[in-house]
Amino acid sequence: MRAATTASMAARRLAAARLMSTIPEGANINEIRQQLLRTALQLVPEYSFTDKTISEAAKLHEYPSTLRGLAPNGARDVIEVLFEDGIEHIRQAHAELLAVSGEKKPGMTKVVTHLSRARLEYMIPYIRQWPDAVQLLAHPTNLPFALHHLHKLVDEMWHLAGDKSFDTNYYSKRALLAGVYTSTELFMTKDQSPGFEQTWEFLNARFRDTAKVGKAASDVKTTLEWGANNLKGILMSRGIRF
Amino acid sequence: MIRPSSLAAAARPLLTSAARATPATTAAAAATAARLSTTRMLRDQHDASGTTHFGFRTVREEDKESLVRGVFSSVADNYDLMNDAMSGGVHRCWKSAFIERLAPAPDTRLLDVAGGTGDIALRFLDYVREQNGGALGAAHVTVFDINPEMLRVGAQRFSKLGLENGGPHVSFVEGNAEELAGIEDNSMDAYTIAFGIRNCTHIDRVIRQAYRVLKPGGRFMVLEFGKVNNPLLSTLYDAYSFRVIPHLGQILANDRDSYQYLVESIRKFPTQQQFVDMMKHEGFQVVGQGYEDLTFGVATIWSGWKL
Repeated sequence: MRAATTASMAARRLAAARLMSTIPEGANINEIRQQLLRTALQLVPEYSFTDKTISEAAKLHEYPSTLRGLAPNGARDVIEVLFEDGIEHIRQAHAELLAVSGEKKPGMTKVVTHLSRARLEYMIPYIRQWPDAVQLLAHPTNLPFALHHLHKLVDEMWHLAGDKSFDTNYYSKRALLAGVYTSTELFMTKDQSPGFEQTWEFLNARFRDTAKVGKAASDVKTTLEWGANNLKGILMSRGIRF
Repeated sequence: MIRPSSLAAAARPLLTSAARATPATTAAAAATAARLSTTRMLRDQHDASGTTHFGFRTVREEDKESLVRGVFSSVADNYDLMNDAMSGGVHRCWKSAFIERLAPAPDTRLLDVAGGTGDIALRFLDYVREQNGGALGAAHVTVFDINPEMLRVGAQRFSKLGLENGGPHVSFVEGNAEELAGIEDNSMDAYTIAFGIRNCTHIDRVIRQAYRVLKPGGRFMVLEFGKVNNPLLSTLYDAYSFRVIPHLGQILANDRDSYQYLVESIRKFPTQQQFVDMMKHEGFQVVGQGYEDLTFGVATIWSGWKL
């Protein structure tokens, strides 16, 4: 039994070591911290969004497990890296979309749907562990953090789509997209269909629901309630009732 | 001792471009000024004639160690009572917060310096046990102190809990923090010193030894009384320190002088920022400011990394 576990542990470490980049000589503390969190993100499928993930990442880099003190907010710091990487990912997706479209620039609706899908595809390696992250983000002390990053995400998507609204449309557009995105993401955590087909159908259905995505003044409340009810469902399934 | 690498780092912005915008040169100037003030402060701690401060008194360097030993030998048996009296019981919260910041694991090797009665060591083992479902794993703490009386009290306390000195989880070692004799280089995951460093004659040597014994990736943590920056609170705090505490010492332990020394030594300790500069001087790196104030600066946790 012990031989089997050490062998499988060694195999996992080898696989993880191949994935992660090494920390270069003479790196300063902030670079080491970033690399530690990136390695931890790659270990999420194995250890989920917990403090243990960061300790294991430290051990992989042959540092003491107390190096996780570099990330005093624990798993939240790993989630922050995920959010920042997610923004980079959609910027790349946008560049690819422009390259493919060539002369004819894509419309705002097309860009927003494409970027939403790209961001959700980015979540695929972590989606089974994502409910643990949601539970962490729902904590009252983490709520400002979660809302800040959600805003950053939808703002970036609209900005890349070329949104130039200067009235209340600015807010309603972002609120709507936030509702569409979060509800689809929560749906995705439970989706077992091959290639996440049902998630993409769900996403398209939500966009259809918002009718004119380009000029929205519609029912923000309903879409946000939808997201909130999904969230409530996940938390209740984990024993948190309110 | 100024490290060449830190000099080079400070000189780099000046070398790269003479026409560089003001922010870089101002930053370099600020860094030089900070280093000068650290050097000046280190010099103030021991001047050329070989004297240093013992509270508000000036004593010979050679004498400070034995004077401090005298203070702690006389308070050893009442140490916990003294702490409770001075801080109103809050020192327990500070020490618990200190260990929570460290977040030790079942494979952590800790060196707890000036930890005579074992407050930190005990909390360390309790934290590991709680996180690890009741087992201690390979967690080990070396309690290191200059004072044999304090170590005796600590070893007795641990023995009552079934943790024997020299066993798999704890060992008590007597020695000077400025040398750390018997502790090997690169052998410790973490180094803690709680309410002990202000009593050391040469703080820079203590920090240097800490750097020596820590593994790469190791953490240096100091819990000590800091400066209260809030002017209203600092007035109240000074009044409490100088008017109440020595009298409490007289009543509770019949030893007013030791307590007078203790509150004076707090005032002579470097400020939060100065201490961070001293850590960096010896090679430690910090995240953010490098310190965290507890209770408005009455106590402070400093944290440096050997990376």
